[in-house]
Amino acid sequence: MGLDYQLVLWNKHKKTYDKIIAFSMLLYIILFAVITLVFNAETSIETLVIRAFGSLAIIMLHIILVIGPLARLNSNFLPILYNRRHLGVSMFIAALIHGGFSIFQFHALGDVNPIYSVFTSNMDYASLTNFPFQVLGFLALLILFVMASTSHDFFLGNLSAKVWKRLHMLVYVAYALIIAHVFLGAFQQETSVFTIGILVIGFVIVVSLHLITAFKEGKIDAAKAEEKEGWLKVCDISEIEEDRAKIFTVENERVAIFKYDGKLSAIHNVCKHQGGPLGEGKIIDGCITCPWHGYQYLPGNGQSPPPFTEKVATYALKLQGEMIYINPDAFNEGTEVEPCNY
Amino acid sequence: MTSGLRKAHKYIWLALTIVIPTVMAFAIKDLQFPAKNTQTKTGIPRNSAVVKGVENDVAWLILTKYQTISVNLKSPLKHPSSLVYELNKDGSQGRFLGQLTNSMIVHHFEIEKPISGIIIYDALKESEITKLTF
Repeated sequence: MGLDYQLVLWNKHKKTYDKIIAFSMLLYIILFAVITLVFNAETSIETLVIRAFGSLAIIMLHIILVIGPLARLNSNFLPILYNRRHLGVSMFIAALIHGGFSIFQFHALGDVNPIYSVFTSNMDYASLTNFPFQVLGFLALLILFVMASTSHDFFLGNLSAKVWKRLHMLVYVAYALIIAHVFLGAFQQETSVFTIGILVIGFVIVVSLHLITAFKEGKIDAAKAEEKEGWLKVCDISEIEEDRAKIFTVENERVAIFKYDGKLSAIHNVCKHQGGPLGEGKIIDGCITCPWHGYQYLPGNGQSPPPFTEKVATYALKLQGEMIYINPDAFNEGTEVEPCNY
Repeated sequence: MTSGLRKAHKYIWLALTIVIPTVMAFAIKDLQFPAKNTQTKTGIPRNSAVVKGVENDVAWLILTKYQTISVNLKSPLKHPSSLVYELNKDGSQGRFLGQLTNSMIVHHFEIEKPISGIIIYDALKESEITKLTF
């Protein structure tokens, strides 16, 4: 967590992560250029740049889209999720180079505004085979621009997490536009079963992972707990590891029940920063620490330690023997609740 | 994620599962897949014989008796896309044969019926680059 806004809050892991991204992008561009020039030495530099960065952006977008569900299905992927935003901004840069060169190559040398030309040079909007596919790519690039330029925590803090999240869910619209851009564009000019196959496989992987995760999470949401005098039965105390949590569903919302220093506390499972699952984090220095970006909350009152102001709802717990019970009625965000001692 | 966001994600991906394959299917349905074609460094395919040939300032075109045409560009084309179509007897644009990718190699395309030549077409600029008629 950082109190002041800085361009990027660097740490050792972020630097390593960014070096891996930059090196991988460079390696891909070099390999693409070498392979292209070996098989077709007459390829112009503009075409090479357009194709290399376009394909790179699509590959990166697929990787970005699978990180979320992979992290839900397997916590080993959490470190990648931690810095997904840098990957997103890098992907936007690749897409911008692709789009910029394409507009320059195909629209900048006429007597009309290049952007106007993108929309009007082909007016065959009613045709699928001859659709002005560049328009779709341009719209996707605009969405990616909005997302990249608002990716900083400054915008997250000022737009509110809800608005920010909805804005960034536009990536799904961008993905659909990009798939249509490629299918109605590149494949119409250069029909290649290989490239169609690659994109179809990519789509199947992305959709399958998202749907598997969605249905798995839906099952957890629908689970009904045993009720006893208005309290819901959670689990035996031995089922929770020290400094870790058990995630429990209360009226479709997830609650994280933490066990620490001979005490039990329950807070709402959703981090105020980007909606990370607090119950998958652990207690570090006495604070519940979000596994996504390290935001912290005190277990007793759900408040971030001063000077931070984030707050989540808290819940009352009770112990009967070794069995933990939770009151499903949440307290207001940041309400102090006496921990349950064991 | 809150339960509302989880539901939103689920419905978005269910919608994309339907919408994207539909667009893909429509896009592929009317796609022109190229005729069987090969490329060689030079010359016409072995064991074939030239039936007739023609050239202009853009390319050479050779028809062999094995129902194959060979196209060789004289110099690289300054066009982003160069697609080859059959030229029908009535002068209209016929079947899509394939794409010219390189002036250093000879492109060979199989044809199914007698043709009167080929059209080399820029699909991006929607303009005819050249026409070669036997």
